[in-house]
Amino acid sequence: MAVYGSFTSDGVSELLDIVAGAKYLKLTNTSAVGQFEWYEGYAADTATNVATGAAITSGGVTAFLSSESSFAAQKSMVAPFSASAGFGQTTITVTNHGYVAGDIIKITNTTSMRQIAGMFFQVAIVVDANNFKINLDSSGFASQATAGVCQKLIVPQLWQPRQKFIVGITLGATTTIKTSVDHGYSVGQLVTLQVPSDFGSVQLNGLRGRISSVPAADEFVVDIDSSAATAFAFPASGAVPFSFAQVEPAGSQTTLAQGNVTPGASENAGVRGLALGANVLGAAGNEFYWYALT
Amino acid sequence: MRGEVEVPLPPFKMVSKPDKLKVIARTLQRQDPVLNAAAERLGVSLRQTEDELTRDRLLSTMSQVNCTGGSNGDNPTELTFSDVVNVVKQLRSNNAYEFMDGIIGENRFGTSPTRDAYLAMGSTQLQGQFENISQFTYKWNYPSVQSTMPSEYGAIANVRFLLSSIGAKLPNASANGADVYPLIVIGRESYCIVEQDRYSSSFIYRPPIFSSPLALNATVGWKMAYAGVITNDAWVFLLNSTLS
Repeated sequence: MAVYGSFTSDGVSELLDIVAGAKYLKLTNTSAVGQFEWYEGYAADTATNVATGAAITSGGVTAFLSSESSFAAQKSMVAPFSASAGFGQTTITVTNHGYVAGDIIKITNTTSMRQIAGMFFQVAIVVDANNFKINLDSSGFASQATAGVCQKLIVPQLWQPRQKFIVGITLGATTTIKTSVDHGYSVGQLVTLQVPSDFGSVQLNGLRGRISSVPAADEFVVDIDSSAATAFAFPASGAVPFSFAQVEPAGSQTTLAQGNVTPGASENAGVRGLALGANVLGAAGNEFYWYALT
Repeated sequence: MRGEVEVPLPPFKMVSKPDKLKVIARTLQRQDPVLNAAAERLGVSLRQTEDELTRDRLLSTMSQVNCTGGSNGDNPTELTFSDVVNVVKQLRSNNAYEFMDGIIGENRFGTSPTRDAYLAMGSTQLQGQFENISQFTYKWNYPSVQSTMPSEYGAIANVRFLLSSIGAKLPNASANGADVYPLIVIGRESYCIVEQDRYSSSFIYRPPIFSSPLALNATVGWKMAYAGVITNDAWVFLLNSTLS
């Protein structure tokens, strides 16, 4: 089947939701005059420049299908890392990262900061082409990472809203939870907290609460009195292995005025198609036509 | 190709006079064997897709516990007896019902009784890990295999393990960047599939007459509706582990 469409490039990334598995893509830049081709079987993130025949070896085209493993190619994190106090102030350096604010990345293989290895984080701020900040306050860590690997999640996993990692808890008569990526939860939704003893606030482990407000996309308040709990803190880097602090949807308990909310990971957010990288997208504002065979 | 051939009434055809069925346009292929084989494969595809959707849904929203009892230096570590016991303890503390009844011991060489058990579903890649756990009982060491499932591999404490090639695998997800193999550990009635009103799945055959004026190609396929729900999320756990 043939599928086609057009878009205006942002110069960084573009997702073509073409529903089925693609066998061929032709991409035409009508602003800067250029064509790129991609065939099924190409390595991830690659394409061919039609005019020159040159292979695009990165920033090309990647086929994706929503699942637990729809990731772009791994990229190495390099020193120096830095962190100022406050969420979204941990700076990560990746040469030519190509990420935009809101992208979700998985971080592994960290040195000196193994307490976050294996977690997902949202790109909070793009500082420049080589630096970005993630949704974490690591200023209290004994040391910042000196190396690591990050990998962008191409599209959200299949079912949303899903389990999230907790990166901060504000204790009190109600409890404010900060998540490492936007949670997607709603007021009236029930959530269960999993806080292992390694993270301090173990008194909250296993407690279920109702979300009373959502002050930010990565923050929500639950009606759990945590005044007597010990403070939340990430364990030391050398404390691994341990389970992460997390929150998961656990049903809903809304008032009539609030209406229905998604009770758990029941929304199928699946998409299938092709992800385009910076080396086939020209400059921001360029107009593209595309044509794919499935 | 055109001809008049009398054929037995196939189950899919809509005809008004079955006793005088005539086919005036035939395809170049003999389709029945192909259709039969396709139907078998599509049936597997349908149910496997259902399994994969359920797997991904459970992965999305379950409490995740990392194995910590191993010694491979990763987070999570490889699966150990203490990790399994830890999950059993949590499920029992949450009053989750066991799925399977225990199997009483019998006077047979090389067998040992099994306990009432929760079920754990995971990847066949985990198979080798069980060799390293001395408390593991293989299925063929049960006193009886009457109440076991084809995919069952064995048991540790109060958990019986079902392994499949479509078991969950999270690539490069551990602290050291190794693949993580989650085990979905469940109690009875912890999750379910919601029956849709008068609809579950359809097997759809379109004879060649629908394909084109020359009626050259038949199509066959399936479609389904799916809705799943966790009925008690205190009765389901995700036990993450890496390989040793």
